[in-house]
Amino acid sequence: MEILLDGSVSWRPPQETPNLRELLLLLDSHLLAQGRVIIRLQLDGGELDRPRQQQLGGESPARFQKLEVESADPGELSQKTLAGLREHLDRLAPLHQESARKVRGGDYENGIRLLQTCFGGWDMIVRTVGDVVRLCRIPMEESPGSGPSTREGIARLQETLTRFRKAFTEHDLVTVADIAEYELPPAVEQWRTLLQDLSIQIATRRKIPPA
Amino acid sequence: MKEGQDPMGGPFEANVALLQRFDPSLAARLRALPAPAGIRVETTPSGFPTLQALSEDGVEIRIHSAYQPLDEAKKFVADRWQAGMEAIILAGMGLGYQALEFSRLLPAGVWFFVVEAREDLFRTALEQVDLRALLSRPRTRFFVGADWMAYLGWFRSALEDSQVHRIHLVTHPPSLRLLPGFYRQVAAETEAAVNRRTIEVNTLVRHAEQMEGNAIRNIAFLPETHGVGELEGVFAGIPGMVVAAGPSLDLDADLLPEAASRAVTITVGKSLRLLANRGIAPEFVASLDMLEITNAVFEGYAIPEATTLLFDEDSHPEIPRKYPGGRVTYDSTSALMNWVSPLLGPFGYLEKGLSVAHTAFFLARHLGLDPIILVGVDLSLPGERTHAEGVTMTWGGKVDPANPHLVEVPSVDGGTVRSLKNFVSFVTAFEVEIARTRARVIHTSHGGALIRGAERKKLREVLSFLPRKPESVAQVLRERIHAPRTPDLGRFEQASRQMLGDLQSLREACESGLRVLGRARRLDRSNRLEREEFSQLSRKLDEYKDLVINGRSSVLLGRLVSRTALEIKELSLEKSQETDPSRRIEMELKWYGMIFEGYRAAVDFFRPEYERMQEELRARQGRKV
Repeated sequence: MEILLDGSVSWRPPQETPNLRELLLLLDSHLLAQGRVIIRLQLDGGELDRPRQQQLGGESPARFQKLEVESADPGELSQKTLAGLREHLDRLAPLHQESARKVRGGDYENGIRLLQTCFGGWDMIVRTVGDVVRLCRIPMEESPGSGPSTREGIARLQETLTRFRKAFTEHDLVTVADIAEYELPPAVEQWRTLLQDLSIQIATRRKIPPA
Repeated sequence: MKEGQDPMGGPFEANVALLQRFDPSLAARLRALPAPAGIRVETTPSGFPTLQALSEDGVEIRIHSAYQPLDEAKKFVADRWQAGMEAIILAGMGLGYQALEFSRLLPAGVWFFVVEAREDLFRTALEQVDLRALLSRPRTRFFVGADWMAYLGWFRSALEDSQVHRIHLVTHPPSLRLLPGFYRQVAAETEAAVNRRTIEVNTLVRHAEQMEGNAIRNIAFLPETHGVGELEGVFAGIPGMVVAAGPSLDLDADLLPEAASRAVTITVGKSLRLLANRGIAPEFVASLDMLEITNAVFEGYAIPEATTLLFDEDSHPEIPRKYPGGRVTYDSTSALMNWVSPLLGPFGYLEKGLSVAHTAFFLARHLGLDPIILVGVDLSLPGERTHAEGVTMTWGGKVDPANPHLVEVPSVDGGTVRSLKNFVSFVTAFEVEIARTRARVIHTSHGGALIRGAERKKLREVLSFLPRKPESVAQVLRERIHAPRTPDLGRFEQASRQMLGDLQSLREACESGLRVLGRARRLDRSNRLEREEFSQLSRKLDEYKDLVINGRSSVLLGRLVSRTALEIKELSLEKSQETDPSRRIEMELKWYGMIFEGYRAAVDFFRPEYERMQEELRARQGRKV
C-alpha cells in the first residue's frame, strides 16, 4: 500500500505491520517525532475517520492501495482553532440577552430558537477546547493562566448548561431567561480569558510532550 | 426601604386589612389557610423576594427572576402595554410584582382584574410584598382560587359592574405553567366574553331602533298577556323537556311524541313545525327573535292550539300580533320594561340568556320542572348540517368546513366535536346555570358539545324512567293563561302622557344645549372677556346636560342612545389621556354635542313609535270591548 504524507512525501513503515491499527500507531509516532499530528486520513479515496478506523483496524494493509495522510503542527492548529472559538464567542455573547429579552417579552418561539443556537454554540466550544488540550497534550487540571483549570472551567459551564437544559425541558421560562441574562454573559467573559490563556500557554510550549 | 416592601417586617396584616374592606370572605379564607407547602421563597441579590412553586405535574417552577424581579416585572409590563386600554385582566399574579407595576401605570379610569388560581401563592404574596398600592387601587378586582364555576360568576359580575367592552388579556406565563388548564380556560372565557360583549354591543348599536321599536310596539299586546310570574313553580317536580333545533334532533325525532306525553315540553320556535308535524302540541314555544324573518317559523303549518307563546319585549311584534294561541311574557331589566311593568304587569322576571334555548331552559326552571331534559341542544356541528331536518332554519344550512369560526370542543360522547366559537359561550352559560339549578338536568344529545354539570343519557334511556305527564298540566295552563286580565289602562294612559311630556322637555333641553354649544364654539378663548363668557356657557352646558341625562324619563332612551354612549365612552377615554388643555376643551365641546344630538334623535324616534303603539292598543282594547 502506498502511503503519501501531506500530498507529496511517500512513507514506508520501518517494519512490517500485521494490520491497519498498528500501521496507524507507527505513523502517529513518526509524525509526533517531527512535531506534527495527523488531522485527516483518506484510504483508497474514502475518509478514514474514527469509526472506520475501528471497523478496519484488524485488516491487513496489503488489502488497500493508497493511504493519504494530512498532518499539521498541533500548536499552529490549536492557535487557529482558538482564534476561531474567540470569534464564535463574540457572536454568541449578544444572543443571550436577546433570547432572554424575547422570552421575557412573550416571544417564545424566537426566544427559544435563539436559545437553541446558544446551546449549540456552547456545546461546540466545550468540545473543541477539549480537543485542543488533548491535541496539545496539556493536562486538563492545569490552569492555563491565573484562573481556574480547563477542567474546572468546563465543569462550571456544564453545570450551568445542565440547569439551563433542565429548565428548558421543564418549561421553567423564568430560570431559562435568568440563566441567559445573568449567568451566561459572565461565562462569556470567563471563557474569553480562558481561551486567551490557553492560547498563550500553547504558544509558550516549544514541544508537544509525547502521549 | 425598598419599593414594595414593609420595613417593619411582614406586610401581611396591612395587606389583609385592605383586602378585608372589599372582599371580607377572601380575607377570611386567606387568614385561615395553613402555611403554604410546596412554595420556596428566597431573597434575590436585589433584596426583593422571589419564589419557586410546585406545578401540578410536580415540577418546581420559578415564578419571578432569581436576580432582579422588579426589573423583570417592569419589562414584562412594558412589553405588554397597549395605549388606550379600557380594561386589563392579568391571569396569574405570583408575588404581585407585575400587578403592582400595572397598577402604577394604569390610568385611574382603566379597570384592572387580577386572577390568581393558587390561594397559597396569593397568601404568600400578601406575606412577602407590600401590595397596598394595588389593593387600594379603585377599579381593581381580584379572583383567587381555581373553582371554575366561581370564576365564571365573578367574571360575569365584574363585567356587569365595569360595563367594559374591550378587555386586554395578559397571561403571566410562569403562573400558567403551574396550572395550565385553569389559565387556558380563563383565556378562552375572556376571549369568549369579549366576543359576547362585542356581539351584544354591535347588536345593540346596529339594531337599537329595531329593538326599541319592537319593545314599544309590543306594549300594545301586554294588557292581554299573562306573565311567567303567575306560573312560578306550578309544575314542581314534573319532568320537563327543552327542545332545541340541533342536528341530533333527527336521531330522536321518533321518540319525541312519547317524550312529550311524559314531560312538559318547551320548544324553541324553529322546532315547533317539526313537533307539530308529528302531532305534538308542546306546552310552550319560545320565540324571541327581533327580526321580521322570524315569523317564518310559524308559517305553513297549523300551530297547535294548546301551545302557549313565550315572547319578550324584543320579539318582533308580528309574532304576538299573529300568534293564534295563548301568550306569556316576562319582565326584563330594560328601562322601558321597568317602566311599563308596574302599569300593565307585573309579568315576573325571567333571565333571557344568550340564546332562545337558554330562555327555554330558564322557563323550565321557573316552572319548577324536574328533571329538565335537553333534547337537540347540541351546540356543535358534528355532521354536514347546522340544524335537524324539518325545523325552520333562520340561519345556517350546510356546514362550511372553511368557516373560520369553527373550533373543536369536548364532545358529550368523548373526544372532541366541531363547533362554533359562539357556541362555546353558550355551553359555558349552560354550565353556569346548571350549577345554579336545583333540578336534575339531563343532556341527551348525540355528538353534541359536552355541557358539564348535566347528566349524560340518551333520550330512549330517559323515557324508561319518566312517569306520564299529569293531566293537571293542561288544566293549570288553561286556567292561568286564558283567564282575562284587567290592567288599569286609564292609569297607563295618564303615565304615558306624563312620560311623553317629559320627553318633550328633554328634547327642548337638547335644543337649548345645542344653541349654547354653537355660541361657545364661536368664542375666542384667547380673549379675556370671551374666555369669561365661555366659562359661563360651560356652566350652562353642564346644566342642560344634567337635564338631559338625569331627566325623569331619560332612562327610557338608554338603548336608543347606545351608539352615542359608546362614542362618548371612547371620547372620554381619549380625553382622559389628552394633555393639551385646548384639545381637551375641544373634546369636551364635542362631548356635549354628542349628548344633545344623540338624545334629540332618540326622542324623535321614540315619540312617534309610542304614539302608533297607543293607537294599536286602543284599537285592540276597543275590539275586545
